[in-house]
Amino acid sequence: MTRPRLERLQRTEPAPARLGPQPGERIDRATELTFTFDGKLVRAHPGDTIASALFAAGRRTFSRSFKYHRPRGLLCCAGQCPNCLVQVGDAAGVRACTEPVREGMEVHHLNATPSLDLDVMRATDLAGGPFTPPGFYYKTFIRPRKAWPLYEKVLRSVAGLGRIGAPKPHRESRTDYRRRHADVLVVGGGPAGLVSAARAAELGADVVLVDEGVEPGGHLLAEGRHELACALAQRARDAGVDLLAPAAALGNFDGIVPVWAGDTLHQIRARRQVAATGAIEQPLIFAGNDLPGVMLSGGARRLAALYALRPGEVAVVATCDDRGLEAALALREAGVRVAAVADLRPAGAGTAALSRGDGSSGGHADALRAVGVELLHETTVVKAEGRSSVRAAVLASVDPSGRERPGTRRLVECDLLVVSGGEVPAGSLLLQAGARAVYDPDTGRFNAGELPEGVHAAGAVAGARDGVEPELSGSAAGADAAHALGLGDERSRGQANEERARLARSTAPEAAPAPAVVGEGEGKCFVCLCEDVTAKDIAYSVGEGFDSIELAKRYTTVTMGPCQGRMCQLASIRLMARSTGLSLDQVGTTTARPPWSSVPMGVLAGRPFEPAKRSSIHARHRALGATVMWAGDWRRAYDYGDPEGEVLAVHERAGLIDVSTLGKMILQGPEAGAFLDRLYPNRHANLKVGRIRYGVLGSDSGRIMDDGTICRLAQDAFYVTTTSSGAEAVEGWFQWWQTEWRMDVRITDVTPALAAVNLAGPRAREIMAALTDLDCSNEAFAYLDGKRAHVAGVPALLLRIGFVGELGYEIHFPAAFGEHVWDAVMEAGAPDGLRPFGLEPQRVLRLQKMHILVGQDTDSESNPFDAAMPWIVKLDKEDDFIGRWALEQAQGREPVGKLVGFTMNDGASPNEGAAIVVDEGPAGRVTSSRFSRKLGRAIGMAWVPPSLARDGAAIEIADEGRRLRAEVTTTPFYDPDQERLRS
Amino acid sequence: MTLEFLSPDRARVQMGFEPVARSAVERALREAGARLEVRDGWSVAADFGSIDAELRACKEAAGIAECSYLSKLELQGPGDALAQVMPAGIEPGRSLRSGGAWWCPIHPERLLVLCPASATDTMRERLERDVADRAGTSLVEVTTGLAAFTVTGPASREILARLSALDTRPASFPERGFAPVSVARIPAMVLREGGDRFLVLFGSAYADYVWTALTDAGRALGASLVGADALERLAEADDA
Repeated sequence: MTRPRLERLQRTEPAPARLGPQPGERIDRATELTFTFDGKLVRAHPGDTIASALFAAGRRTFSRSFKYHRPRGLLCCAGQCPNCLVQVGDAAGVRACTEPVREGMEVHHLNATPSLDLDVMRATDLAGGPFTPPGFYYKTFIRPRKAWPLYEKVLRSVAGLGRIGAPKPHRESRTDYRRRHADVLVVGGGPAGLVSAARAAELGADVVLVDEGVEPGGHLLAEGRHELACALAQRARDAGVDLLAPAAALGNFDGIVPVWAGDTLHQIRARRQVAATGAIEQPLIFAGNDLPGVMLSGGARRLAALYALRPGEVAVVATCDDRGLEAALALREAGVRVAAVADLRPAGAGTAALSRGDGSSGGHADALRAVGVELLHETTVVKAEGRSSVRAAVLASVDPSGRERPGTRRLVECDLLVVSGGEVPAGSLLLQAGARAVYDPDTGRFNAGELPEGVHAAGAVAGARDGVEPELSGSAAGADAAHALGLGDERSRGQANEERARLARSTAPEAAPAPAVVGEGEGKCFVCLCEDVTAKDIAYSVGEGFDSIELAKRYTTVTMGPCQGRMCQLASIRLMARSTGLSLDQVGTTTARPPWSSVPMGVLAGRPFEPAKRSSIHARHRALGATVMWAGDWRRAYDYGDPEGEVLAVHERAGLIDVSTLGKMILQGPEAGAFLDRLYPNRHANLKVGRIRYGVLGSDSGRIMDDGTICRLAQDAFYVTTTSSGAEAVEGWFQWWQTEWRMDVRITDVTPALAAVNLAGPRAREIMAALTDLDCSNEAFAYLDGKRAHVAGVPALLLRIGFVGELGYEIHFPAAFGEHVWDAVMEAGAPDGLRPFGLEPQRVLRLQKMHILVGQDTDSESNPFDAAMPWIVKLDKEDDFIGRWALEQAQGREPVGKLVGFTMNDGASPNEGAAIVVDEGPAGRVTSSRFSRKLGRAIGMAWVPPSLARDGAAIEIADEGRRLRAEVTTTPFYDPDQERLRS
Repeated sequence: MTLEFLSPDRARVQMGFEPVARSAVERALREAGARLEVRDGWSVAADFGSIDAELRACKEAAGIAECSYLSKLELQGPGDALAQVMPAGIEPGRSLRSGGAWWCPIHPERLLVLCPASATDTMRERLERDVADRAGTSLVEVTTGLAAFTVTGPASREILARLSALDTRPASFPERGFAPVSVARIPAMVLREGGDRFLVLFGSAYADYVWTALTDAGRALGASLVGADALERLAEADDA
């Protein structure tokens, strides 16, 4: 290889980075503010970004790369690449090039120790190459195996970008969801998007436009056409467009487009969408292409135009289309000396008429030559020289296939290397909406193919790039969207047709496809700046068999970093094609997935919503010191600090529990009884008015779904209770069957309408007497009676039932009186030693009675026969009922297990879920287990083999290494003859 | 009456007890400075210190009010039978104000009737009579089953947008619009009473949760709590 010819440029003292006033500049020079970067004070102007302010202050290295810790400088200045990620306060991964400065903000660098300018981890770049191929941590760090925890600790400490603040009990920043419906959503605020939005709105549509930039205008802002951008934005506003900026569209979820703007995630549902997302300028792949000082042409122009910053003193431009030539002209106007322009296209390119609208004639190439800038055709940059920033560019002539021509190298000294590797349509949102990526061999790009219904495209993403094309394209798309909504008229349709015809006549600008890579072997050629993936890594992954783009993506992590493929997808496809011998079309693209832009997790999470149901007595439980826990959707009192004492109070005096959570339904209609008979395996149509019956609800396979009570209120009205957790499912089940059967019955869920308390214990009757004038004697109000009466002045339904095994009254009443009734009962019961009791004591009490808890003592396979409730199934019922056939089969079949009670022989309580062991094998499980202070022993319920489902049978329980012995019982542990319940 | 135990207005002074129906968020109202008054058997937040300030808030940003004391009666039955009970002019998705009550179609076979607590007895008796005359129909009082909050004022749509996907643009959800929707991730119904005034109805067990979510969203958008008196004035102004 010949030594490149060195062309020395005369150096002068560095000029100040801040230029004189630029038309359309964003900064307010009259005002100054300060912030800190790594603890040092930085001065800025309002309108500056963090990056522009730091650049003005002389900083050129903004970050260290993810893997090799190489210095990285500004590249795109548009929030596309990962090169300027910083930490702002507790927020990591903030793009300095788009984040506006704020007074007093604290900014820190990421991923460098001890400092950004001196990073010891750079050793991975200088010496770690052979040890850090793709997937290196699965290869290099696997031996010795026992050292992996240490490796993992080290890897974790060096991986990742930024610091997350210590967990705090409460969020310090607020994030919100906001739903916005619209007729038309336009994504992208460049000329195409602005015109599209304005046009649709002018035709009468309700339009929302979202744009990532702090102000709309897109590329116009950096190209000296700020006035046009302002005019278009004003036209949109005048038309009534709701303009959100800066606001990043994150994806397309079946028509819902989440848009991140500040602390709000807008969920936009629009009847039509217009993607005017533009195109993304691509870097070139060459040795040292990541050095600070290598900058995309758009980035360099943005620095100059928006922030009045001179991006460098001496520039070399390498391009494959007119972008680079335009940039060279613009930079020269900004005071940058352009040493050379390397254009991949052959001589004659770049001579098309200028489109600046300033009346000048001739092409960009002519304009450059006219001011003495050397323009080299069929030439590109093969290497950037420099250690911590660009010192010079090595240029070489290449043939049409992108191969370097030997002996053509030139070394041109510069501190700014402007590159432009063409552009790719920013079509991710279109692809997410359902369009397919289609390869266009003429342009070497992947475009969105046929668009799905309701989606339009405008501007560069639709192929319109120069001159007035974006505006024409936007106008046509906006009109199409409005027309699809039934807006507009013949005239507007005619105009749209004319605009489309003009677009069809336009020709694609001249562009040469960028070579996959040049300068290999002379340094790292980065294809993915986010993940530090090199061209060599892509070839390596293909060599290892990861020969599809999707596999290579996962193996190398190319396109998986913060830029989400914006900078590297096309380049990686080109490299894959080169390594596999396939065409770009055959290699294809990776799947477009959200999020299209980086977004903080907190914004996605939104405001924390945790729907919780609370009974109307909830505050009383809190005041009484209850331990509150989740029970399904409800917040419930678990106990009041003394569960055992609460159990004994129910047995010896009286207890009061809030059972408002029970599901409650009113069934009305002449066929309500028949309806229940079809749903339950036992009879209810023959239930007398004012009486209550227990019911076990079965599925059509005969399995237990739920249980509860049914009280007949009138000949044509029933009151049905369900379990707390099953309320919604049971109501849905009832409604589902009613839809099928269409019986003369109406179902109303009154669960939240009624509060309910259960007053239970031997003193319950006396307490009731102080609350109601209803005769509560056993003769007048017997077990399983339901009566209506006023309790403490409140209309109530009283159910004499006993889930906890003592004389008890369930009082159901309008929820708005929850605290009133609770207080009244507690006060009336105080002389009798009444205590509130919670869920835990209730569980002990019901276990003593062997009352099942559906879902705990039963599972999806349990039927009433096996669950020791054969008496609930009335197979002699005249009419069919849900699950009848299955229960008929189950009746004659030997079950796998049976539900029984057990008493522990040695006093130890097994854990719920412990195994029943027979012949050293699992043969069942413990479903409930508690120590009963009342009985003085540990008791429980369990599924056991049928052969052991008999009184006195010995069972063995394996529980966390222990072997426990118990004795089976088939009758309730407490009051087996129901004497106390019926007393 | 078979279902009297569902009707809070059937409470009475008895054995020394004087029951008052209370909202599930009364404690929050009191802590926010509400002046509570018993009206028609309900403890109602009459105002929060200054009705004028509350009216101003409703005009400039938004007011949020607790209105669970409204009576709610649910009619069920075949569509043709219900059509004979309800006033003419009710269409899917649109409620009707008639006889001092809101008639809100949940779906063709269910209708929710909202009326002031003072009018409950009259309305219920009327509907019971109507139902008794028509086979296949029934009436259940759900007053305490549904909590109700009002959001009113120019920021009300923005507040609802923080909690619900309901399209509140006037063209999509005009005045009298009534829709079952999700609000703060729970099932609810929203009635657009007029202009920017929305009544949100939902299962009363969620009242505390929804109140927290709604007032939190409202505060961030400049909303204030308002009492029943301010709401009444607004309604009078609307009627005028």
